[in-house]
Amino acid sequence: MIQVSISKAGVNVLTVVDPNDFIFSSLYNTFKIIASGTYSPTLGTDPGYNEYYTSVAHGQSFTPFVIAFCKFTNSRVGIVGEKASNVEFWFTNLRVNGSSIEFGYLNATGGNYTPVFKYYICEVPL
Amino acid sequence: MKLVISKPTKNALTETNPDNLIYSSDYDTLKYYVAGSAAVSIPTEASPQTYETTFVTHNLGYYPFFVCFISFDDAPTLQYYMMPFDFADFPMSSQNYVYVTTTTLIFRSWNYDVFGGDVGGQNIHLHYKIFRNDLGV
Repeated sequence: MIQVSISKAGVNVLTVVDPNDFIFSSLYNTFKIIASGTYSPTLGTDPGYNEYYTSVAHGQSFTPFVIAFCKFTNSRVGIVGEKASNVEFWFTNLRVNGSSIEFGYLNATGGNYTPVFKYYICEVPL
Repeated sequence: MKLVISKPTKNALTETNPDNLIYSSDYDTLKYYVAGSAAVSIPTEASPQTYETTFVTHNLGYYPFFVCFISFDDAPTLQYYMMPFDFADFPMSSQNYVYVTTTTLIFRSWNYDVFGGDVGGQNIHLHYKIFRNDLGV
């Protein structure tokens, strides 16, 4: 089997064994982003602090591994489970099924909230 | 022209399922920018507090893909918790969030002791990986 490897500077590609010393090696599978997108819904408020979901179709024929971020309206980007640092809005959860990516949120700001969700779809099925 | 490396027994010339490939130049991947860690001291206070610090200046000029873990003084290199990290064990609770802007990584920690005891004075160790990938938001 042919092996393709690129080592970091100063490391002998022919003898290196530590994966951290490779820039790339065909010995190891790579993280592949097969699709990505942004989704910016306008979300109504609920002073009762209840959680809701909003979703976007992922367009894949399988349930994919997904990673997502949330840009809050104060121009800070957080990760799933985090609260906006200035208001009562949480990006509470991320779930995925065979057809859609679902973003959990809790909006107790007292008004509509319009975050920007960024999602990455990876090649590996869950 | 593209570069494709398939998994063993798969034909790189005909394979279309990306899960059967080790690498394909058709697909983006994560690209490291900077990684590191440092201790963040929680102020000594007896009341609910919000503590926020600019942790890393990345100056990429866009919102980068990032991942963070934290650890605590009692086991700084033994137990790593993926961020965000919420902790509640009466009478204490702690919320630890991390954000990025186009220039910085910001660490925000909220700690509370119901009985007004001292929850400060210890270090939280933040371990970060920032990638060159632009979130495009």
